[in-house]
Amino acid sequence: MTALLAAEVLKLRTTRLLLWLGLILVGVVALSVAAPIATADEFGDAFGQSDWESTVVSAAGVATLFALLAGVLSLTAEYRHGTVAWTFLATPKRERVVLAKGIVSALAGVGLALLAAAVALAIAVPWLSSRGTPLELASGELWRNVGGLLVACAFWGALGVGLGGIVRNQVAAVVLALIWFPLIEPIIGAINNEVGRYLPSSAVDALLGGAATADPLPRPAALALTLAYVAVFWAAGAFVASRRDVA
Amino acid sequence: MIEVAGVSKRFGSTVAVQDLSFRVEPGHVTGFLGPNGAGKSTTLRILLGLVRPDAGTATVLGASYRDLPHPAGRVGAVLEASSFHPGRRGRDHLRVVARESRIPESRVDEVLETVELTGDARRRVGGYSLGMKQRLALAGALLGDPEVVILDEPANGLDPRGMRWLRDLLRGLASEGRAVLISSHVLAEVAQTADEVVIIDRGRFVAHSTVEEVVAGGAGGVRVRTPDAARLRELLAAAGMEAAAGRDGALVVRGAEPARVGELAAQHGVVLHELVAESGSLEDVFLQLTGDTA
Repeated sequence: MTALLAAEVLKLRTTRLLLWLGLILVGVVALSVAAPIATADEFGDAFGQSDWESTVVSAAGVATLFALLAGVLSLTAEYRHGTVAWTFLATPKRERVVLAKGIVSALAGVGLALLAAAVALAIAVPWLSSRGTPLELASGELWRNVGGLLVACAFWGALGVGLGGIVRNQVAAVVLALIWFPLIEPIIGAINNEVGRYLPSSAVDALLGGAATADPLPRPAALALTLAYVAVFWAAGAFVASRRDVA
Repeated sequence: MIEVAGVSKRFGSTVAVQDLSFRVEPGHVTGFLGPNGAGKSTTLRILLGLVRPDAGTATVLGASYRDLPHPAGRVGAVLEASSFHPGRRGRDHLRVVARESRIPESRVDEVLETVELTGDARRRVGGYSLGMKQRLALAGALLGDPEVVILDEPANGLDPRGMRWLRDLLRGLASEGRAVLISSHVLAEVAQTADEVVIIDRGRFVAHSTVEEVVAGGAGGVRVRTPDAARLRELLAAAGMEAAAGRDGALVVRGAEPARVGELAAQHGVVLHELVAESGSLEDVFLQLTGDTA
C-alpha cells in the first residue's frame, strides 16, 4: 500500500493539475476575502462588529469544491488519457487503487485547504489590522474554523474519488459533482430538511458546527455519517471500477 | 507460459472473441495476427486482466493475471501507443509505473537507454511522435525485466529503422527464454520477427503454425499484362488455369508457371506487355486463411 500511495503522490506531482487548481484557488480566495473587507462600511458599526473570524475562513471555504474536483479527476483523468490501463496492470486489484487514490486525494484536499486558509489570512490579517479591527488570532473560533475546513476538504477529496470510480466519464463526473453537492443538496434541504440534513454536504457542515444547516445533526452522528459516506462511495467506486472492462 | 482456453467475449451484441484457445511457449516470438476488428486487442486485454471474459480462462505464468503477485514485474505489456498523460514527462511516466509496480527506480534510466529515448525523456509526452510514444510504452513494458512480453501492434508508428530495432529487441528477448507475443494486422510486419503465428478472424481461431508453414502455404502466381485480357483469360481457363483481375488491368494467374502462360499466349498470337513470376505474397496467404477475398 505504501508503494501505491507513493505512486499516487508522484502522479499528482508530475502533472500540472494540482498547480492549476492551486493557482485558481489562490485567485478566487483572494477575491472573496478582499471583497468584503474592501466594501465594508468603515464608519458604521457593521465593520467593527462583523464576525471577521468566520468571514475570513468561509472565504477560504471554496477550497472544498477544488478538493472535490481533485478527487473526481484522480480516476476520471486516468480513464480519459488511458493511463488507467498502466495503473490496473500494475495493481490488478482495483479496490486497492481506489483506496490509495482516496487517501491521497484526501491529503491533496488538506493541502488545498491549507493553501486557501493561508491566502485568506495573509490578506486579511494585515489589512484588517491596518483598519483597526485586527483578527483575534488567539481566538479559538478562528482556528476551529480553519480545522473544520481541513476536515471538509479531506472529506470531499476522498468522496470525489469514489464518485469518479462510479462515473468514469470525466465531464459527466465533474458536472454531476459540482451541481449535485453545492446546488441540489441545499435545495433538497430547503424543501425537506429531514432528508436534507442527512445529505453529504449537511453532514460535513454539521461536523464543523452546522453554520449552514438548519437543525444540524449532533457532532458524533455527523462524524459517523461522513465516514459512512466516504466508505460507501469508495466501496461503490471500487465495485464498479473492478467490474468495468478497460477496453 | 500463456494459455488461452475457450475464451469468449461479447460487447453488447457484438461478438469480439468466440471460443478461442491457443498456447504460447517461452523462447519464441509468437505473432498474433488477424484483420482489424478480429478480436486481437480484446484477447490481449483479457490475458492482462483488463477485460473479463464471458467464458473460458486466460492465464499467464500459470495463473490469471489478476492473481499474480506483483504481475507488472513478471509480465510486460504494451497496449496503445497513446495511453499517456500528455502533460507528464516521459521519464516521469516510467517513474510512476516503476513505483506502483515496486520496481527499483534505477531501472527507469536503463530502459530509457534500451529504447533510445534518453535524450527526450524529460520532455512532456504531449510533444512526442507516435514512434516515440511506442518506444516509451515499450520501455514501460520492459521495466520489470519481464518473463512474458505482450505487445499490441508495437510496430504502429515506427519507421523502418525503428522496425528493425524492434525486431532485434524482440528476437533478443525470446533468445533469453522469454515468451513474446506480438499482435499485428500486417503479416509482413511479424513474418521476419516471429517464429510462430496464431491467426484469428472475427473472434475465431483460424490457424496456429510456424511462419515457414504459413509462407509455404501461399502458392505463387504469374502477373501478366496484355491488351487482349478477355481472350487470354478464356485461353487460360480452357487450359485449366484461373486468372483473376489484378491491378491496372493486369491478370493474376494463381499456381501457374510463367513459361506455361507465355507459351499459351504465343501459340494463340496474344500480345503480352508484361509477364512476371510472383512469389506467394504473405498478405495473400493471410487473406486466404482469414477467408477474405482481395
